[in-house]
Amino acid sequence: MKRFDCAELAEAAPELILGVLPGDERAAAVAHLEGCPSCQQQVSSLAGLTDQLLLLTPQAQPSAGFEQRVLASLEEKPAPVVPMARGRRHRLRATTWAMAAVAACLLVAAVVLFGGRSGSPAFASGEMRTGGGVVVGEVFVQRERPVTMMMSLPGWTERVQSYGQPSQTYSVRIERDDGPPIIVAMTSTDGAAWITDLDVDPSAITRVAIVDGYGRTWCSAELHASAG
Amino acid sequence: MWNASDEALVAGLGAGDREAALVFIRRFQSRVFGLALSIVRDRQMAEEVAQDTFVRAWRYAGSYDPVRGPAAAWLLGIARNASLDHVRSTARRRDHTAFEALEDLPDPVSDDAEDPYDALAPVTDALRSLPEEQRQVLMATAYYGFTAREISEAWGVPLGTVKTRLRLAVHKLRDELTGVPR
Repeated sequence: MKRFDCAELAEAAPELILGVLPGDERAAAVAHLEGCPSCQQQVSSLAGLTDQLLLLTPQAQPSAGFEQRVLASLEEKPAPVVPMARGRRHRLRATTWAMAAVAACLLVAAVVLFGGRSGSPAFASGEMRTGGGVVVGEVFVQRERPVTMMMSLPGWTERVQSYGQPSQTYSVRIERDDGPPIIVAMTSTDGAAWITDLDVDPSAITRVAIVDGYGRTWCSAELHASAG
Repeated sequence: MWNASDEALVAGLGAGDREAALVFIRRFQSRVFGLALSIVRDRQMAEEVAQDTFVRAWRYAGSYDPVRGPAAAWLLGIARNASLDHVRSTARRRDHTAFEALEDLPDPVSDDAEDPYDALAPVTDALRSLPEEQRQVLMATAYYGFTAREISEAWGVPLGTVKTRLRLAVHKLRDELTGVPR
């Protein structure tokens, strides 16, 4: 691989920060930067210029209906699971692991408590997804009475806090194919896990959603029978 | 929602909130379309690119890091990449020479008195203070994604000269913006 010294790095730095340095030279520049604090400082002082230049862009109006066409295309292309912002990652790492552990325990508990019987699956489960398709948790519903619903929402607090509505109240809407939806107050939104008993026919539940005070759906799960 | 910060709207996008998406699109469509139009030079193609930009933003909102810069710059970076991808994929790059691109580059000064990015006036001033040959090289790379070698070939200027102009432009711009005495 090509190697850069400090002089070559200084010459390549403008193209590097503007994002046009060819691949082999970019690799050489990055390799040099890893071991050269002085050049790191030089490049850092230039970083951000591209952002500022792009913000000077002349504006122009697209044709009428542009925003509706974009919204329609968002419908066709749901967002995938995406990483959390880097700035939050350190703060959340321990919490995220803890939540993952809770989710795993819930799954084990669900299998132990409800599984192991012959015949139909003992519980149904589904991934809680936002409208954009981002997974924020899981839900499990026992298929036999007494019906217990368990929800693990490791991504919930992050979503709510980053969105700026932490004081919003939320409910769980349980949709079923034998009657109107049931709304259950969500007594905890701390993201860890939430368990409640339900007085419904468990086999009729098709979908579980979290809705806010305005009735907007924040995330939902289609339930699928799980192996018992 | 309409008064939400740019960063809050990106968070809304990451949460799959379509109302946030609508506000976000309305707020930035003229900037995104303007940049796309500057690069691809065709209104229909620019609309495709602008649409693609918002779809990418929707998909990758969760990767946005406020620490690394404002949401507007993040979005315009996506728009720039989408525009360059489009130009390259349609093999228009060869026809779309640096000369052609640069000669009628719109003056990057906003006339909108309500523009939330008025704070960028010093950047505009610094850009205008650059010698013309340095400013052109900087525009060709920052907006049009041309490498120094491509500019060298397009303009018939030695590669070393192009690199020197670019380096001087970037450093002068930085010094102007950070108040470093020369």
